[in-house]
Amino acid sequence: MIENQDASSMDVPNSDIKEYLQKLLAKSGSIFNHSTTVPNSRKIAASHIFANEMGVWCKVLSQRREADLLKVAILEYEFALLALTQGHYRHAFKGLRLVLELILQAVYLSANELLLREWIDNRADTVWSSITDKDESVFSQRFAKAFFPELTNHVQHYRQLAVNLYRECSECVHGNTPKFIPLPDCLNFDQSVFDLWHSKASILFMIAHFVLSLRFLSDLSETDVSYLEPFLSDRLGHLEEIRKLLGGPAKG
Amino acid sequence: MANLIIRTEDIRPEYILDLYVDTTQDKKIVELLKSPTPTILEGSRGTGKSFLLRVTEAHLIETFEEKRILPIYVSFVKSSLLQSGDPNQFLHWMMARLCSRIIRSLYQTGLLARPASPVSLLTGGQVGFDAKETPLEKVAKEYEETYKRPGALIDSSNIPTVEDLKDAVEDICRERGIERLSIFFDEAAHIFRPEQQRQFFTLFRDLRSPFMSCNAAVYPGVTFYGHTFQTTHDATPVSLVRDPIEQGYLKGMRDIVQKQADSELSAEIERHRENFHALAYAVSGNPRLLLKTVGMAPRLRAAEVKKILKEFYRTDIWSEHSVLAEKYVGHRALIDWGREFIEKTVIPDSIKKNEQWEKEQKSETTCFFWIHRDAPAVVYEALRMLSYTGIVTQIDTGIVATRGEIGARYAVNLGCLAAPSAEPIPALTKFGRSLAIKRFTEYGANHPAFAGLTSVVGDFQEIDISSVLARELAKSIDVLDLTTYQKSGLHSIGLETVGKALQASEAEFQKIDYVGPKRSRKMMNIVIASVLEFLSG
Repeated sequence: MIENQDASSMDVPNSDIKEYLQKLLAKSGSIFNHSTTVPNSRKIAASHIFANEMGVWCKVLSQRREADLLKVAILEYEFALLALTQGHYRHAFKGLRLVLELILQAVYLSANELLLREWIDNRADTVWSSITDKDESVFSQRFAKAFFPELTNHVQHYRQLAVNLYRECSECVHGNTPKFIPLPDCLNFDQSVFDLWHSKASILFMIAHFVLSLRFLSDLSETDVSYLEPFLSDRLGHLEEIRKLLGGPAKG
Repeated sequence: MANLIIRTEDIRPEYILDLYVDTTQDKKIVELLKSPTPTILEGSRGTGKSFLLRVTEAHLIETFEEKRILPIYVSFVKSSLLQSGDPNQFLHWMMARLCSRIIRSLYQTGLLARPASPVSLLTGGQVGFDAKETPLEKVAKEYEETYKRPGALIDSSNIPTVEDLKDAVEDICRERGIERLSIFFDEAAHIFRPEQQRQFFTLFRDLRSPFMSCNAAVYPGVTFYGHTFQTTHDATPVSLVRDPIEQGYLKGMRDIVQKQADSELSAEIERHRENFHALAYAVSGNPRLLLKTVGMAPRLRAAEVKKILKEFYRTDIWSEHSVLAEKYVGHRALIDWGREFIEKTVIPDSIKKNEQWEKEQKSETTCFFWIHRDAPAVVYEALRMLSYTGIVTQIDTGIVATRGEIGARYAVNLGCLAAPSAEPIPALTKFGRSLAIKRFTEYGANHPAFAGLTSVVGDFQEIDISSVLARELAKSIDVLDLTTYQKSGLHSIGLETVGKALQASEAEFQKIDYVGPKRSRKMMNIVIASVLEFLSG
């Protein structure tokens, strides 16, 4: 639905479909201008950098099959960001959920090649409950103990963050009464929803870098770690276990 | 244990300002860091250097639209992991790191944007037409490639120079309307490898341009600035010392804790004010130690605080100092001697003085001591190690003591000084009221306590002889910064190499005509200084 005051002008009898869509496009264009004017442009830039960071993960994991999933996640993330700038908020949040799902799925499947191959061949589906399962998922103690034991104490917290973020973004998929994400009911710029998206995205960044570090960081060469270090220090430097691995100081 | 954050690295950058207490001193430092003047911020571990750099960064981000000054925070903490014989590797590593941080900051503020490297929404696959590199990104990439292949045969004409980087920065600043980049080097020169320290300060000086201002946080006593760097001309040095006898000290320290305290802790601080003050005095101006010790005694009961003062300042505080000995094996003798000197000489001497003055009903106390400027170089080196952990703080130099002798003045940590007391809380309260900086214990150039250290100095090379050190010891004494007469004198008594001179005693030097105790001490200091530089960092 588009903004109410514009509705009458949309009802021009001879308006063809192209003309109608052009009006929506023009409206999206004006929202785009709001979204990309300072200070909002700064917020966009700060969120866009996540795509570059994921690109570095893809680069260091390029020999692994699951890197393809991460590439899809990057593309979807950029689509979500583009939707956000044009005021397509529901799609922007849905995109965020998909990116979360893809990254968690990539990490989960990286530890199970049979499932990974089945998933790529479309013979297995993503089951959210299994990728966040307490005992079997990337957030399980078992998974942490196998790949980065020092992070075992943190997995429960990050699992909760992932579950909450997924639930909140799911509102935008199901379209039920909003509890966490109050979307505008027409095509219009909405500062609070715009800000909310960035706030949810920043949670996604933490979860994504955490699970990727949990799974791969201990196994990477020093050179590969050095590619990741500039942004991992910013994103997860507050976790002593990761900071130490990146060459930073211990607590105390 | 209360859940207090004690390290800046544990705080996510976006929450830094929530914990900032803008004391007069800190405000001044932050303003200086924001200015185009290059600043070297010097302070012991835990005094808040990283925190203030981060605060300045946050302020500049907030005001970017108005001032157009882009902050770039670069940490060199990982430099201690670089172990390579390639003398340029460290320089290339620093350049790569600086470039990548600049680019990241440009991305973060949206002043530069590019698609993720393996895929692009615009092309659907590999990055395409929109991926033309800026000169800055090109410089960054070349440094990245160079430092990762130390020792590899590289055409040096392909390696960008510092000037190339400055040009690239100027271009990007002009194109994007940036007034200048303000660089904050954290953990700069934090290791004791003089060669790397020199390289860093040379780079620091060379980077200066109208489009780039540099600031660095260093530990006290970084002495290896190199020949090209002059601290007063090339930067403004600022000491981050929170002086317990300054007015407003207790309030500042209290506010730092309050920023993180829950209502219960705040109430306990209010209820047990004297106990909290004792902890604040004990840390001698070190916020990290204060947060740590308050976290260990969150109810602030007298018995609890007394226990911390007795245990923490007798044992725990030394553990970090002792860890240095494991990390920097070459300095073990200095580190161990430093502890002994403080525990067995400085603290008992100060206590004795304070007790005596109390009997005489004098209102003054001391935690200060003075070291003669002609004391063996190794003594100063040992004190430098103690300053790193904040167990001692150098107050000033060029201080005139008894008989007009000149030396440096230090303060010993108040917690360490109060710990042996039966009642450390009242002892600390008294220090807060009565410390007099003019009162200090003097240690002359040949104080007997120094003998223990000078006698073990010869053991350095036995402990960790490395090829570099061996080469250094085998060098002729002609390379040393001695007078021609002194050099020929050393040759005449058969001390032809640095190694032999190091093994000799000052008494042996005195066999040379016209070389008495003072000259022989100076000569020995020069010999030792040349070797200290090559101890493992």
